Amino acid sequence: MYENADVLVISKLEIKNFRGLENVSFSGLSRVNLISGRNGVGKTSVLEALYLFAAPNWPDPINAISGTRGMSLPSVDDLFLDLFLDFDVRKSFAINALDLQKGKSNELNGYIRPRARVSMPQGAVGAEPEFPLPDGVTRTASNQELVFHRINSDETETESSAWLTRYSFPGPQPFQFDDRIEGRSDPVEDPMPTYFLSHRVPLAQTWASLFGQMQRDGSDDEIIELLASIEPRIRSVLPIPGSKGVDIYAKIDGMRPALPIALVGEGLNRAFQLAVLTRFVRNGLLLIDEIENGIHFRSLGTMFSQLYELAERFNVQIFAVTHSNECVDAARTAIGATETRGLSYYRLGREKGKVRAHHFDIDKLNRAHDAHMEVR
Amino acid sequence: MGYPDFPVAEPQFLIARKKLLLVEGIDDKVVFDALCEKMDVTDVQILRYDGKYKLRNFVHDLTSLDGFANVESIAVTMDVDQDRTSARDRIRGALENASLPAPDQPLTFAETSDGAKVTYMLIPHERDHGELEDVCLESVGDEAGLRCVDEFISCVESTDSSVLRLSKSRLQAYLSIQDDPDIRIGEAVAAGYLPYDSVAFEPLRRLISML
Repeated sequence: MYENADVLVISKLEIKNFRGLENVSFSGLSRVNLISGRNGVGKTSVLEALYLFAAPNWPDPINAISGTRGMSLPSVDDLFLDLFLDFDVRKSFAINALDLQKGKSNELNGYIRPRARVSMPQGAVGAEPEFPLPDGVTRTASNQELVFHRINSDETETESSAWLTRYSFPGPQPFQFDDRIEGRSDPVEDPMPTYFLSHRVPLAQTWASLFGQMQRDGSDDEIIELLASIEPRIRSVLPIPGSKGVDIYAKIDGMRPALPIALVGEGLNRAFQLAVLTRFVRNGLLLIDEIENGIHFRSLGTMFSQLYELAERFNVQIFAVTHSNECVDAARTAIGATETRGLSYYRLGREKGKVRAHHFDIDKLNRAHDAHMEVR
Repeated sequence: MGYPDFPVAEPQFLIARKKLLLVEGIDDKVVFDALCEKMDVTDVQILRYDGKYKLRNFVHDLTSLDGFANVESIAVTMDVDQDRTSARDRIRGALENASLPAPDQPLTFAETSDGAKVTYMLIPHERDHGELEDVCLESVGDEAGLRCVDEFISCVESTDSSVLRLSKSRLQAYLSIQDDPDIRIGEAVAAGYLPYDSVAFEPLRRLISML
């Protein structure tokens, strides 16, 4: 039934000098990995590190993680400082992961270097602006750039970089009208499909487009079970053109007109996103911030059952942040009922100024539950 | 994959104090709670590991919880039962399995590299066999009611009925003749049926004071 049911994407992860994480190691990774911990300990940073690690098309991941944090673009003076431990760009950051599918490690190092030294290889992605500049507009790039040097599991080396470009009208009083993060990447063979689902991301045209693809290849019915775990009255999902594009609607028992999914409820919205994404990051990573958002605690167990089944089927590895004890317990019960290696839980804690990941497999979670231990 | 009924939420504990006392069961917890209350000690958190066979995993898992890094002292208690060496080795093994130092002797400290203190005590202290109930009975001393209980036990044994758990039976029988006959062992200290200031409880009080 399953395509790659016993092949995980990553079995071990190490993050060094990234944001507030000096040296954190995650061993024993499973199909579903839940991360918890106090505010500000670095949970979302772990997802961001994985996203930067896996996403090949720069500068999209840099823009995405700034957007999910709700941050404005960096200034020229503090370009990407927030990615470095203690804002110290002299210490490069590193993200290492053991790639189980290829049996070797991927290693990624991030650092800042002067942009004057950059060459633009022929065919590099993002070397030139993708749009024509209006008359009189100047384009000034920052004199530094963020570089990701990657040693791939096949021992090839590739590089991505990102910089800030300011678009302005010159003159005695220059008028700045846009700052953009731009970047380039060496072509990466066989990139790892990855999506970072932030709690800030609304249901948008992207989802309609992805769902349209599922309809075309006939896999749209597969997501109904997951949606039904949140809203049992749901019968079907359909994209309907509106004045500003295509929106996703749901047919609900007892209601004659179809309703926009966003109106049915945030839980259904979230379940729809999870179901669609699990299909589209096949053999890759699905990164989810605050997975329990919008979902009633009684629906969490069924949601995890369905999500786990989809993740197994499409060989997707899930990393999700949660603040909810009910969420951890629902995952433990739902996944642990049939698959004792399907779930890992990590509590991030700050100990003597350094962040450490405490690993709980299902056995340890079961023991902690029986001993009434609060594991968050 | 089916999903069973959603589990009913149960009360959970989190590490809320810098001094931890790990005890074997509910009676130990209530006795130590009562002793702490009588001693006006409020900064010791008493956690029960529910049986000596669960101690090893309990200590190991405890070190993964939020707040453990701030703990300054830990004590583990366990009934001696029939074998003092076995009980001592079980505690020391559990501590070492959790990467905690194990002191050579009870009621002495070993220190972690971070300066946290670790100790243990076997109950009864400095005895080759016995359990918490023996300490409780010793606290009663030569009390008339207990003498009657012993005659009762002797009477039962004379009928070819064996009393398998003598200490527990003696103590329960003794408590059953108090004003509140349904009281549990641990609650008997708080109720005053077992004198907390007895010399029998001195090692337990000393352990609390040490933390």
